[in-house]
Amino acid sequence: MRVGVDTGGTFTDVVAADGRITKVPSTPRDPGAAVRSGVSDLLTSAVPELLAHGTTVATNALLERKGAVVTLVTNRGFADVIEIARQDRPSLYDPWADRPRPLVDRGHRVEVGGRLGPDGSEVEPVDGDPPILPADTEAVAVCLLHSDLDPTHERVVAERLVDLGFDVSASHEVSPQFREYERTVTTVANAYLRPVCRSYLRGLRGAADEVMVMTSAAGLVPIDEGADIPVSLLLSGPAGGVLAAAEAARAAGWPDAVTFDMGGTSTDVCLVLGGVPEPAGERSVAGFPIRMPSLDIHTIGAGGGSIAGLDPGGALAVGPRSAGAVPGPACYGLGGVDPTVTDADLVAGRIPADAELPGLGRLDRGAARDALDAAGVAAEDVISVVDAAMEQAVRAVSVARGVDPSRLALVAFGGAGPLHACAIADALGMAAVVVPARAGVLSAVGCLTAPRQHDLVRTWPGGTDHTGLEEAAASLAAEVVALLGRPASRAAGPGRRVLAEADEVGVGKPGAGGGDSVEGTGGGVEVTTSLECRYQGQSHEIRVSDVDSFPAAHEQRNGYVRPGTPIEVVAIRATARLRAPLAPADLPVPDRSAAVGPAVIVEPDCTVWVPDGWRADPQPSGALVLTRTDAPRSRS
Amino acid sequence: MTPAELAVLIARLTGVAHEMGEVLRRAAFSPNIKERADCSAAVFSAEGTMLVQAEHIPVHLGSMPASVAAAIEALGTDAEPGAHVILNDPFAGGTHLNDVTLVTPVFVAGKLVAWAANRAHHADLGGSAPGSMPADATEIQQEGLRVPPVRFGPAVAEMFAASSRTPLERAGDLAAQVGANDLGARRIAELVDPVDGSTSVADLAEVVAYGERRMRAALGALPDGSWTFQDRLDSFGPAPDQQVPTAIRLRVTVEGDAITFDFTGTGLQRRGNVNAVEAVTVSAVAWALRSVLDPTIPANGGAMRPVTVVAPPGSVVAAEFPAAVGAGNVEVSQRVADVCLGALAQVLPARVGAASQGTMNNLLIGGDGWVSYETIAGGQGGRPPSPGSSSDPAPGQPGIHTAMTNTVKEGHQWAEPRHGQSGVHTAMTNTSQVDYRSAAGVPGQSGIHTCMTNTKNTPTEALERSFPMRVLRYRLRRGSGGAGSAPGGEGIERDLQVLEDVTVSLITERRVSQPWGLAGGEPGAVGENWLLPGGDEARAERLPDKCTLRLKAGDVLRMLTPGGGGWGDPTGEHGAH
Repeated sequence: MRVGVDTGGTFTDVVAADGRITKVPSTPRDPGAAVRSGVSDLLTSAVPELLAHGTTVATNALLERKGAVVTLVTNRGFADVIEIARQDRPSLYDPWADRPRPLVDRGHRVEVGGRLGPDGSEVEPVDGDPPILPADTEAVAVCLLHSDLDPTHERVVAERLVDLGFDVSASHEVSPQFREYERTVTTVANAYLRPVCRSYLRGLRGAADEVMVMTSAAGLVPIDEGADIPVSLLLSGPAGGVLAAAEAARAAGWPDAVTFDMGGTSTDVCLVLGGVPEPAGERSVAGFPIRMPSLDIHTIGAGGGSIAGLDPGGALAVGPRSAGAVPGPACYGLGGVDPTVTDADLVAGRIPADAELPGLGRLDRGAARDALDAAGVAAEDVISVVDAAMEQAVRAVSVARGVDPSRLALVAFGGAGPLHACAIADALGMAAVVVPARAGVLSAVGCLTAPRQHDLVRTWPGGTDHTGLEEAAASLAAEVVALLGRPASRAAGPGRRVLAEADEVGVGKPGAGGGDSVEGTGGGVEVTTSLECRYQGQSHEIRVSDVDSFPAAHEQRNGYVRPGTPIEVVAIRATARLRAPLAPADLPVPDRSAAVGPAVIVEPDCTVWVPDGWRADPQPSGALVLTRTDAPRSRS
Repeated sequence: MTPAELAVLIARLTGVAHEMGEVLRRAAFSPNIKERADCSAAVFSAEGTMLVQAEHIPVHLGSMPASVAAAIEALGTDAEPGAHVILNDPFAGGTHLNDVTLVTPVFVAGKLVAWAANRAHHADLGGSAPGSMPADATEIQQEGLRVPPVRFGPAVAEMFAASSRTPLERAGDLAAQVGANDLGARRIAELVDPVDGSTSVADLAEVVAYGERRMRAALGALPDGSWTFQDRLDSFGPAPDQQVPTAIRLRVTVEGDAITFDFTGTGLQRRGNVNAVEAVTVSAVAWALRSVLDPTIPANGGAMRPVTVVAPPGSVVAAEFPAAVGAGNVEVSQRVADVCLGALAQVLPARVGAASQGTMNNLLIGGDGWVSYETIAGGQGGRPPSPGSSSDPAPGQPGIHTAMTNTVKEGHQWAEPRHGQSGVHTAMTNTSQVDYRSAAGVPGQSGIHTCMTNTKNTPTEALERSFPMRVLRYRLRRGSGGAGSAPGGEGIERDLQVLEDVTVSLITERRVSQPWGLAGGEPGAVGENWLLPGGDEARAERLPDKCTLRLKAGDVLRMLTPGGGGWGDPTGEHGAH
């Protein structure tokens, strides 16, 4: 039996391949305890053949600043790049809104002689002696200028430190792209997270025959690989949910969609085109630009716990203050007195009056109403204001990118997503709302059904000269396939046989397959290459499958093309995926019934609000599809 | 409108401005706009009152309305769909020549309902030195192409390109500006006249009234009274007779829920480029108010209604034709912000820190077919303890002495920062139970942009791959922050070697006067500019704060930026250096 496990802030969700689910309270001090107890709840005596895990251990270590003592080794004269950052401040107007404190303090920044030029050639040879590091160093990050073009200097320094027994993260391995601050902070974060993630992930080894961990790019990697590049795990949980939501929408007939995950303190939205969540090369985590392959998830700081009230100008404000999990909304009865979105949902009847929360018992509707009354706000008004904020978030990933929302579905999950989705779909004229099966544990479903995946990126030094680009892309593709096939932490497991055939995969040239991917399908491994392109002189890149498709992509995103302006290739990316033997559609279809709004549909793991003028219909795929009653009921 | 309808409309309008700004940044060509985000976008009512703004740097905050007013006047009755107006004339709605504003009317069903506007900093529009901010300019004609409000079209775009040292970049940036406004116009049209007709033009006026209520509520919590402060600009050009300071004097008067910023007594405009037009001064006032009172007060025309700015025409804070104004945006604005903060520190001492670096350290370099413009960060002033929630402002207490400290090297006694207080305190309230001075405060951040700018740096790797230059050193300037219980942040040390012959313009301030300390804190270190011919330390020569010079391949330009002032007594319980 295979299981998917997602650790959340409050609950750890477990889904088994036979469709059974369980939620157990998370154990923040030892997150592995909840993972093991959740798995044994479902499987009783058997050990799972695969445990696919979405983890918050890296994220929490970064947020709570509980990583290693890191020494940064960098070029002479550049020790403070890690503190100067990009020299801008987070808020134009709030003098106390500081940048995050650097992960490396001043006493742990070590400079070495040696310098490369902007073409990767040597300007000054690298220091012969290894640098002397502070005695309390627990991990080392090496980041030298222009090492994305030529890693020789960095390798020399890193190897000497490895020889001395240090745990070294080198920037050309972690994030081989230009812009030194982003590369430095990503490499430092990796070094910072390694010890804590390594010990956590190794501790899970016995929990299954094979243990894999989810990356920010929504692919599974063996735990040893995750422990090596823990900075790739920072958005592990959200990625699983988006992946499963995208798959659920595609199965329901909507390959183009926006995923909508509304939780207690924040809401994540992500554009999906052709069934594939939009990729991103960089995401901000805890105020740091983390440059790793990720999904392009847009997060806003509003959710069920956002507090509502009238501001001094007489407008109804929802957020940015949040009641969090403690004391939580007034209806939790844990001492919260401020009205939240969840209180409004309860008073408005979207959450049934007899609803119970695991561990909390029945929600207190009277307390919710009192809180709203005391603040002088009406439940429906609070909902309309928070919905407007959600509408802007969905707009930012669709309309703002040249994608017409009327051809998209909104895929709702998370605690509050299915309660608010229809109003947002209405405001944007979206075609339908899809509530996937097991919407309350969707991140765990995403882990269970995610592909094994490996990503590579290389700086393209040629710029506007594309000679040899196809060969370079093909070679990177071959490299990434080989990496996917490298031995997993355990030599057993069903994936190994297929992986052994990966060497025989034929790799196409960029653009050969049309669309946005190049696929070699031999041995079940799928290889995609893409290019980061811009017009010469621009500094914002667009990811495309080949140079020829850049102008159209630029037109869509930015509204114009520049015929005659040379197209500069900045980087090449390659991704190898090995599909999971189990798709979400293979899970048993839950029993769901149709409803005509206004109606509340209560399911074991989520609650769906069907407003007046909408209807909900279960699909063969297991999803509930909500459409306007005056619209065609099915797309196909 | 109900409170909820108002909030929803504001969210949607703000979304439009942000989307315009995103398109502008993504589609623009010059690094100034894309990497450094030196641009803004806004939506105005049919009458030209600002409704919402997505500004990326504060100096655009209060100055966009002047551009839109000028465009509306220029267009007269010729406003029609797609009729873009472009301008950069500082004396007709602009700020400095680099800032090019595009204004577009929005029509719904044949009726003018709103205006979309955006502004972007163009790296070069001609003039006597690359970057169009020659440090030695004495009149605006030397600074480049000056365009009063005119209808935009292909011919005008060609004129901009033909005037520039980087014509392709200009064409690309203008295309991005047009794209942003076209998109804004479409979005506004969808919003103001949706299928169900729920949002009317009258509703837009509610947004303005809301901004006014927010500002009046914040001002009404202040004590009535009058406070003065003054500070100085060190010079107005490179020539010896320009190396003379100018005073900026301010009296802030709070009366009920209104406030006046009176700059009477400020020095006259000079034959140099360190002159600001009034719109720039209004921006600095608006920024300081928002940052001291409540960062969440919306940036709209209503919020500025209770605010009166008195800027004497012909002074350095309201320059008139034919003044050169290149450094008005970037340097005068910083000092106006300092002076506003210095005055407001006496009203709300718990909400204002010591002076930050007070300059943008402008560095413009031009070689064969290329122009690079950067501003370099410095130290932030030390701060009182964080007030936490911005909804809990703690008005000033009577009798608290906020001692400004500043050392002026050249002994211009009249230009030292001074503050004074008069008037009746009728509305004294103290919502804070904790004496803010008993805590150590929060040290200023190092190597960070402050006050009127917030542009990102150009990464060393990006700079070296784009231009024939090599960065030899880019570090924090240890020890440059003023001592205090909360010390000032540190400036930056940067050594830049040019690999071919180039022309350089430096426009910097705080090379003579120091960023002041507050509440007993010491001032921050002054900045320094140096030339190392051929990179030779032994031949290092100190450069003036403002200059335009030719460098030879191999020369090194060294800039040390100012530290922030310290906050709180450095010798006290929490003292630190």
